[in-house]
Amino acid sequence: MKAFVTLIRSEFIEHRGGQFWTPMVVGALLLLLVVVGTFLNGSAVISLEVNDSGGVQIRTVGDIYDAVRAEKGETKAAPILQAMAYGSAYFYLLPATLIALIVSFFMLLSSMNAERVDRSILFWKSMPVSDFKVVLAKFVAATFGTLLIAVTISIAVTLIAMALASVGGPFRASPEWQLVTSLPVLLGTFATLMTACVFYVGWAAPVYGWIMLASAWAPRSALLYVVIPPVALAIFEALTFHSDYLWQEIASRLGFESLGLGFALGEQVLERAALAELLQGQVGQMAASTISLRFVAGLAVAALFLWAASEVRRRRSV
Amino acid sequence: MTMIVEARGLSKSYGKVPALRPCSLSIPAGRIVGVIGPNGAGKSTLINAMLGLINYDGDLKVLGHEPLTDRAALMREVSFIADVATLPRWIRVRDLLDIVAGIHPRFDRAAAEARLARTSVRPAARVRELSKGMIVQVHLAIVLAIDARLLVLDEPTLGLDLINRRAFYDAILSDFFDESRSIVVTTHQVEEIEHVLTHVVMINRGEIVLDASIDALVERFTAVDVVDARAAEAQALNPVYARKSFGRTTYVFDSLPAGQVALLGEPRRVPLADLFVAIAGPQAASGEVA
Repeated sequence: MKAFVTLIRSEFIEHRGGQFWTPMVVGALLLLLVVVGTFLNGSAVISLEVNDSGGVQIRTVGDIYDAVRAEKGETKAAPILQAMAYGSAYFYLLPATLIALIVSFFMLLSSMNAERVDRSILFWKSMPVSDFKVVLAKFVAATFGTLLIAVTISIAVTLIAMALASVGGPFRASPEWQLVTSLPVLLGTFATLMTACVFYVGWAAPVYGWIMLASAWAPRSALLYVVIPPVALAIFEALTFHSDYLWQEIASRLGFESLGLGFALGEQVLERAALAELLQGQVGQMAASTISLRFVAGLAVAALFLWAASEVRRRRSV
Repeated sequence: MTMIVEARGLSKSYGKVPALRPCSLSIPAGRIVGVIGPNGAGKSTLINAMLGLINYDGDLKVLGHEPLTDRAALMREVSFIADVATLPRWIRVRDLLDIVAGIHPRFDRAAAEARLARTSVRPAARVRELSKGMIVQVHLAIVLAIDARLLVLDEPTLGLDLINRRAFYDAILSDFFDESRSIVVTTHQVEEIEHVLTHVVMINRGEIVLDASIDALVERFTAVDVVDARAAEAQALNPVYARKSFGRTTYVFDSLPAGQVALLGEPRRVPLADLFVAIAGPQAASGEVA
């Protein structure tokens, strides 16, 4: 176990730039925007002057709230404002996750290929660890590791942004803001996100496994070896069976739809307990999505691809 | 006698091109073994097979392990330095020591740090910032801090200057080798290490042409410098190799009684380079030796 953890640490040292510094820098830039927006009452962020149908001149975030109220009326605006407050409070979680997914892809793409190109595979192979353990460590580091680091940073950024907004933000006193930043909602959101990362990797695992296998096999450009076989298969499927099952399968596994997430925000006003419950329910929905033959089959295919990648690494001349 | 390497019918081909023809080999423990041969002879193929770095055919056991299927266990007892700089270039020296300490149960981090402290290598430096000599020092510090039974060196001093080459082998001999440990080394600079070798394996065109201890070679082969006036006498004794230089010729004889050789001149030990040419050189191949 110690060796496995060390291998993951080694991956982190190698990819510190993508895994740690990229979400940190983006988070710092967003925080800068928050600071500027907070202390200039949002006017630095929203510099456009937009006249909506209600005749409200939008210069600040608060103006947007007023515009919605004016447009929809107080009752209809309430759930929309709650959803907007939620979106404002947790705004950094989405870009951080997307960045992490991009970093994951490039880590997996080079995971088995780069060590052969720079010949460092000879050094790693002089260490007493099996090829499968190395492959598994690379997989865990590139997927769970990258996502969880990005999410942890995004949670920190979110907390700092909330603290700043609570001090001087334009909507700190609004009931919507206070509700979405309350502790149960905060914890529910973060728990949902963390859990989503884990289940997402589970669903996407066969695609990730394929990328690692192609990376292990590729004599030169790993990207071509990753892309060409599935594209060729998809074209073959389309021409022969007039279907697009393969594309649908890949897209649904890489997208978030397989997780079964579903937020009802924006449709009705939710009380604090109801919102927290809604978030906890997301975890249950994600867990339920894994009790399916499709999920288990995906894990089996992923295991097969990872084993094949380790066999290629073991048997290939260096 | 305990064997560190035992091969039966070991071979390796790349497509239809044989890199190592079927061979059998036994290397006893407590030896310093030189694997000698020209470029492309199959030295690295043999070494890579011994380390489980390539697929091979035949039976091969190294320290009782089958390298291809049991490499992880084998590497607990084997250290290896390849012919090229293989340390990951992105890593800092101190991180590298951390990683090896976390992976290798027989690595003594304090010993590696103590050795590095005697060099000009900064622990905070990245490998890519170091000179080739420094990279070898880092690799050597790691390898010598591993309590291994076998050290495999594949052209380890390639590209190093004379001082670094000398220091490298001095460190290996003083800090690694003892009666219970073995070293297998391939090198082109045979002259630099032949005085420390106890066993030699010569490979030519993928074939093991000689596998013997130095003691056996000394007993079997003798060299003598003969003036040109007595060349006919020397030729009559069927030397396996002859090399002309400045009015005299060096002859190498195989299994000739010492007394007979002494009649021609002062008998001496045959340099490995000469012996290799005698056994595997173009003269030997064409049957025109001497």
